[in-house]
Amino acid sequence: MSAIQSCRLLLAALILISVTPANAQKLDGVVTDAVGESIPGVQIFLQGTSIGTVTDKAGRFEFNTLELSSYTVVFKFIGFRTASHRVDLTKGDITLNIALVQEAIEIAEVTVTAEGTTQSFLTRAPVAVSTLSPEELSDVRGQSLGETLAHLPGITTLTTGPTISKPVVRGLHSDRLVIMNAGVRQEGQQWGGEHAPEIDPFSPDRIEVVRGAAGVEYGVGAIGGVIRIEPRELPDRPGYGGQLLINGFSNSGQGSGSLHVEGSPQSIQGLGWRVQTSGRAAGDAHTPDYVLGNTAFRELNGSGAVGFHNSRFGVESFVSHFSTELGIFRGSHINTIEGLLAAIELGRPAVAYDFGYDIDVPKQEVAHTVLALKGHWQPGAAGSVLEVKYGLQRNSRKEYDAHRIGGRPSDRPAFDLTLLSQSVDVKYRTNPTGNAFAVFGASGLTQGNENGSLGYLIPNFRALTGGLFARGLWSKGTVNLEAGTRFDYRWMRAFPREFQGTGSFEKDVRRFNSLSGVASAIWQFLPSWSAAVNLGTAWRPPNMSELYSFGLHHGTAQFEIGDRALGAERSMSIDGTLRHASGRANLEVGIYVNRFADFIYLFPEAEPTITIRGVFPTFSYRQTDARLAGIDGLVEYSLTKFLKAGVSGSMVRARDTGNDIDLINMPADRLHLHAAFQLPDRGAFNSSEVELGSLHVTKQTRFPAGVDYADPPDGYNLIEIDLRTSINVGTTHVDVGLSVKNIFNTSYRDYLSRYRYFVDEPGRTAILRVRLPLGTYNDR
Amino acid sequence: MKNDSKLNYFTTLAKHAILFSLAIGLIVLSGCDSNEPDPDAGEQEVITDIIMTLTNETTGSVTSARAEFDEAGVLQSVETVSIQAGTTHSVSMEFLNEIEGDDITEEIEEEDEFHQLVYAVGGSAAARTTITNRDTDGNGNPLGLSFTLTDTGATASSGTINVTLRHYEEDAQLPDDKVNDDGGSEIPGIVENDVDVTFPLSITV
Repeated sequence: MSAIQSCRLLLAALILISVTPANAQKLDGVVTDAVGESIPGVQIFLQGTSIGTVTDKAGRFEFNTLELSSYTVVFKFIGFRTASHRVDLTKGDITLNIALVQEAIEIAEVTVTAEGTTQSFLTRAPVAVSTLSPEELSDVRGQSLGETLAHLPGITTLTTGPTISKPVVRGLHSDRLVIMNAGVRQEGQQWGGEHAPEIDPFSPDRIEVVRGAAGVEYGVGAIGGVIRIEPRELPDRPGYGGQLLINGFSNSGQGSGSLHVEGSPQSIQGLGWRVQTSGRAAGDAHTPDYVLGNTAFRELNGSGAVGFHNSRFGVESFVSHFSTELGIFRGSHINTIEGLLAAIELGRPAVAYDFGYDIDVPKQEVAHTVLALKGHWQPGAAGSVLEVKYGLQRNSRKEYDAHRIGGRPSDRPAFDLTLLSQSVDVKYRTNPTGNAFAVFGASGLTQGNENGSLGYLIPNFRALTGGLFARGLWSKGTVNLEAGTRFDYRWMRAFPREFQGTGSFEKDVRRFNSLSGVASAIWQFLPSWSAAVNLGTAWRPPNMSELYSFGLHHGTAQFEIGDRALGAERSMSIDGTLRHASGRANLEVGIYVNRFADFIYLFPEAEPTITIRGVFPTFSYRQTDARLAGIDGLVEYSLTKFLKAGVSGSMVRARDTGNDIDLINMPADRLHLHAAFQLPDRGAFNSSEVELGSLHVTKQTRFPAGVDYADPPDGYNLIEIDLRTSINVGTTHVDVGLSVKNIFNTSYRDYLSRYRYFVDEPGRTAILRVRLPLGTYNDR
Repeated sequence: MKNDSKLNYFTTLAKHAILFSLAIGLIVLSGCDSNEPDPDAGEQEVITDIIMTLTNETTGSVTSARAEFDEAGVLQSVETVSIQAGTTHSVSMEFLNEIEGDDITEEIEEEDEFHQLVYAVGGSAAARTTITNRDTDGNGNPLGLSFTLTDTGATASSGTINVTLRHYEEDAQLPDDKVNDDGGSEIPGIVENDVDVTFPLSITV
């Protein structure tokens, strides 16, 4: 069908060319950047036709013999946001002078345009990208980052009950993903499967997930993808405004809210500020049949930003603090193999818990503070930019154990880690010449980790990392090419115990360095279709847990042993992405093969470990070769003006090729269908919509035999409904939304839930959302 | 004009901010904080030694067997419990943290209602060697810090003695749960094992 549509467009273009204009009209103008420097080489074409030209050395362009008609003129130049302008030539010649807006440096890699033009969607990145726009985000406010991303193609979540969820991109998570928050790489204790990203779910205005190796700008670890979290841009027009968001969740009795105020003073043009705070508090979650004891949580966050910019300069400082206290389901913290097997056999909690908001041990207390300073400067000619960023982050993680000799759990945490990180990034983008430009960058990171308490799961360490990269982009006509390379060096000095878990501390220094690289092509082979191919190679050094851990892992009742001799892990990937965008339909499908050399994983040892609490199955970190391949994508189609439907899905096939077995804990295939009906405006109710969604997840049938305590759970199907409307109250409008998830209160378990051995997932929940704009808050 | 001077002021400010952040970054990056741990850091409440002391009820002679664990709880060594065929011993248990010099036995005695020691004799000795007469807690329920080990055989034999130190959680219904706990698989959320260790048993003629 889409092919037919494209043929029609082509046909239409041919007809246009063959028609000789009866009354020739002239369209001309000059293209400049924001400072007024003229830009030569800008591609200009009339949408829906094959008519096009480029600007000359003085930035001038001219169309001489146009038909007496109206056109959409599209201006495209590498490094700048694509602009489009509607002109009506029926009334005579027109002169159109355009100033193009520059893209931020890193955005050139994954083009973000709020307006989401067809053109920029088709050429936005050489690999598949999942995005959540401000509108889409407002429908999922109050949920954690992992839950927020869960419906996007290629993304699943690894959960530890209702309180902890981590994003999984194409089967990879934790240290194989990079999270960029407000332009700074998030540095926390992400090695643990039960360590959720320390992100305020109310702060992002836009989220993008780059699926697959994401080029050379993000440094080591960007093997599986990049999650980019962007706060709202600072206001630059005089005025004050803000918004208040309030949510309630029926299942866990969660209440949450966020207040955001921003402004820009009249007296200083270009100065903007923003303060924001949010909080969430929830009680124990309910499955359809019982309460999940001790799954309450509390979260309090705040952030502030102030920035100034004029046409050539910009500076911005950003401060944020995230803090949470969250309970771990008591029945999952089992320290003996007999107890674990008994709990799996029972299949439900042994204790009938009462609902409450109390948080008892086992629990986590996590805090994360970020200070970021950013500056950019445009030294002269159009397009060149120097950007400097400094980031200071402090991550504190305290985990309280339920197990203590003598019966009473200690008031002191079982482990207490403080990670201090400081980073400096410098990037320079050259002035685009011809059809190409280059970006050069250098970055440095220093980290210190302190373990201030009883356990010594992760040793104290110091780490220094430095990197240099260069990448070049070339664009002409319908083809964009890109190539880049990066060198990184990491030095780590850890203080593990001499004899694994025991003995006195000693120094262990490891050094790693390697190259990563990317080469890609995007070809817009039809006006509404594009195809991209991306070849990439990336690496990551082993993390502290893989190198030094030695001890019993609570909740999984397995003894884990690190290996100090582990080397780096490397991936080599090939990605293909097909995109289509027209007035009615949007499509993005990605297909990939990601081969790993020295993939780090937990190997089940034949010999168990005999401890004071009995005998435990033992796993040690080893390296093997692996292959992850799959397909994921999204199709959206407007059937009528009022009815929109879409499908997104993902499939991963993961194999340990070294041992010729399947990889454990890989997401099952999933398909999400949704349809949205727009309701007519009635009285004070505007932009009302009803959306129905259905998520189908299959049973995972590919897993290594004889390693896990229980086989993967059955597949499941969940239905949800969402109603939203905007109510006029006086001069303002209040957005109200009501959604019900898991409408039929289905009992189910997910293979990527760490609680799947013991209990079901939470049941039905109704969510009420209210959004109140304040002052002169500009929605979009 | 006034606006222009403000603009210039902020432009200068912007330049300085960039330079300042670069300078800070470089200073901090070169700064060297060792992060070396305190040698005493990471000490835990652990049991490192379990000692079983046996007193022959007839002769009064005393023997003992010791199991040793490292700080991570991994078994380092375990001695064999040796008795003569046909003898009766009164046995007492001791739990020590040798690193901190703590006697964990006292902590168990202080919270005796929440604890119970369960014993099981395994191997061929199981048919003739029994454990009886465990001491009791404040509620009169079994505790098991001391007990009687009786062998009724006349020939040499061997086997094992499994020792489980169980503690009852806050959710447990005491004393019912403790009395009804048969020592089999623990009930998660009610009871859990602090210790699960097996001593070899040797019976000589």
